[in-house]
Amino acid sequence: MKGLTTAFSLECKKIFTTRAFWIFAVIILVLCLLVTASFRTLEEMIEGMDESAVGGSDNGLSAAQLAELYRAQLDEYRALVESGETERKPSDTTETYLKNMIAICEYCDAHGIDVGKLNTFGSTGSLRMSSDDYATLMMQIIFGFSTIMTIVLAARVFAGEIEDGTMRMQLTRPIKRSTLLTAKHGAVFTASMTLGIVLTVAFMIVGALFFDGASRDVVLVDAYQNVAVINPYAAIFILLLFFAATTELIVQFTIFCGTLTGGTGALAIPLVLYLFADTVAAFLYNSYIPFVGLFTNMGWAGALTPSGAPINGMSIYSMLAVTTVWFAAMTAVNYIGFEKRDLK
Amino acid sequence: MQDFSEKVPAVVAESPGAEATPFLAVNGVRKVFRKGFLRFFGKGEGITALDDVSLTVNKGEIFGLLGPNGAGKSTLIKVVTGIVVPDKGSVSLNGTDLKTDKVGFMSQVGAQIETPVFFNKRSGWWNLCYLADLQGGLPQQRLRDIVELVGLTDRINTRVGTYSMGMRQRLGLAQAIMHKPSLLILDEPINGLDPDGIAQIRDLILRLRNEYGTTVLFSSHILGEMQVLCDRVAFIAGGRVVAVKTREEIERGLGDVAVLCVVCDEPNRAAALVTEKFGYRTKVQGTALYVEVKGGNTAGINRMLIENGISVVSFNVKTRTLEDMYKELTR
Repeated sequence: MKGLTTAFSLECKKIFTTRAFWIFAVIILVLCLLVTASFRTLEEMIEGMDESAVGGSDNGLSAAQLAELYRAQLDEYRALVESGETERKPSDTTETYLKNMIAICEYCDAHGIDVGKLNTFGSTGSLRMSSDDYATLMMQIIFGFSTIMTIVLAARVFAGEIEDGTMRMQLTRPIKRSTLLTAKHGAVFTASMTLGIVLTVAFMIVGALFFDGASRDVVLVDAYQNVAVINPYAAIFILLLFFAATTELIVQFTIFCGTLTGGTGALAIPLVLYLFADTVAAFLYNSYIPFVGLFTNMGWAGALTPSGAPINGMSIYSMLAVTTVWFAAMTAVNYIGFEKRDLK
Repeated sequence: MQDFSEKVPAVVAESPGAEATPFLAVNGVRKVFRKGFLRFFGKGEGITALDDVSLTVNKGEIFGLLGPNGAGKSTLIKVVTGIVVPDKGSVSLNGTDLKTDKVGFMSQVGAQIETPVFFNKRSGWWNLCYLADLQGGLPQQRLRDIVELVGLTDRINTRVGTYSMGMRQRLGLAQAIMHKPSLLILDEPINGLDPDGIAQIRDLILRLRNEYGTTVLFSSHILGEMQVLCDRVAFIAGGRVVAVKTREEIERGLGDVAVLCVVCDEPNRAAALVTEKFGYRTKVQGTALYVEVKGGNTAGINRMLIENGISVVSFNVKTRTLEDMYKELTR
């Protein structure tokens, strides 16, 4: 255990004292600040415009009325399927979506929550600039760059060190391969999470200042907003879990590529897959391979959003189980692969 | 690099004296380097780097590995340090098995494998501290002593990327001996060193063995170094240990055997006479007769040829060198 702690702290020290890490962090920060500044300018430009010209509002229905509406749609859908007029594909999540909407409406109705505040039922204005849009964009930038940073770090710290021979020097020390791999894995995860969380918190504060203290709306976006309206703390918790699960997935996959290929493969394969992930996933998903959704929708948040579950009827527990199995399998492959690998 | 006789470093193994007890044991090690995905399952075509290699190194011994390029010396050293995983066979040090207790095994070992590789963008000192921490932590004073010992004091705070090959070798040696290893493994430790550096490394190895009882396993292409330094030498060729000889055996073999080249008018009759009277191996090429002489009786051969009426034009004796022995054994 002492060996693992020492190796972990050394790896963290190595990453956090790398100049490239901080240069990358500063670049993301500057980029986000530029976006924030331009966003604020746009916001000011739109403020003077006519409300009707810049966006719509919610449809004014109560939660109970909306629930009734979705129930009717669900019945209609089921009737179409039963009559054979509509073919139900494995990837069709209409029923799940409608069931989720009904459940949300009933929950809001029972707890006196205004459904108009929920993202699903709220404004869909095409020109309206809001703190939600800002937060979405910020999160996309932070998450996108953090992902790239995670891939680069994991490829460098594992496959890169095997490639340049420095891993050889480390392995001539009294330390097990599995311990060294765990330390490197943990250090990359910690560095990526730290960077992501620090940047997110930084822009929560900036966003709150720019958008009149609407900090909750600034950070809790898209999939999380619905949960946030009900329980903001749960939303933050889910956001962190989602971030952690995704970061872990990326680190594992990059190490996996490094085990099978060299340093270039460890960098190139995850980057290409990440950049074209949506295209590849959409192609496979539309080709009637529903289980692909297990991998493209690994984040638990997917199960919480309407139409988010990759397979009809899939619950958060089954998502959790799939995630656990996936992580365990990937971890086993990485450790066994590294134990058997000959170094230069 | 400082003169090692001036300052006694408190930085090397303290167990004095050499004993003839097996310390490092390599048993039936086989390694095939395979390509493709199937390599993870030990399947597929590959190159056999080590084929049933077994040897023992005694405590306090300097043991050399000698062989041509691609013979398997570096692979064997990598197997012993756990860098390369053998397909079969075992390696143990003082009873500790490498596979089952890598931490216990490697805590007794200091190794420098091929050209040492460090984090180039960091200083030599950073690299040394990093490796010392991975080792479990060493006092700063000991690291400073080691840096002084290998003669890197002036450059230790500059980036390793700016180091010459010789300086990298010195830093590699520093990280190998900093934790007082019982077994020091050096793979081509004098590559890139100037003549002074080579002499200093040689002195250091001898001193580690003579004063602190450190066992040394090292490989080199420089035959002279092997002859001067090693108590025993393993000759490796084609992934196999073809011979293991002590220094005495090597010296005896070199001193006793000479190749005699006699140019005469009747080389075939001369060859028959030499074989008949002395029992030596002969070979005739044109007018030259080559005789492998054992025991140094070259004058007797000359006298016998003249007495039998053979006209000797020239008579040259070439003493067998380690290079000849190396070529014979590794051919």
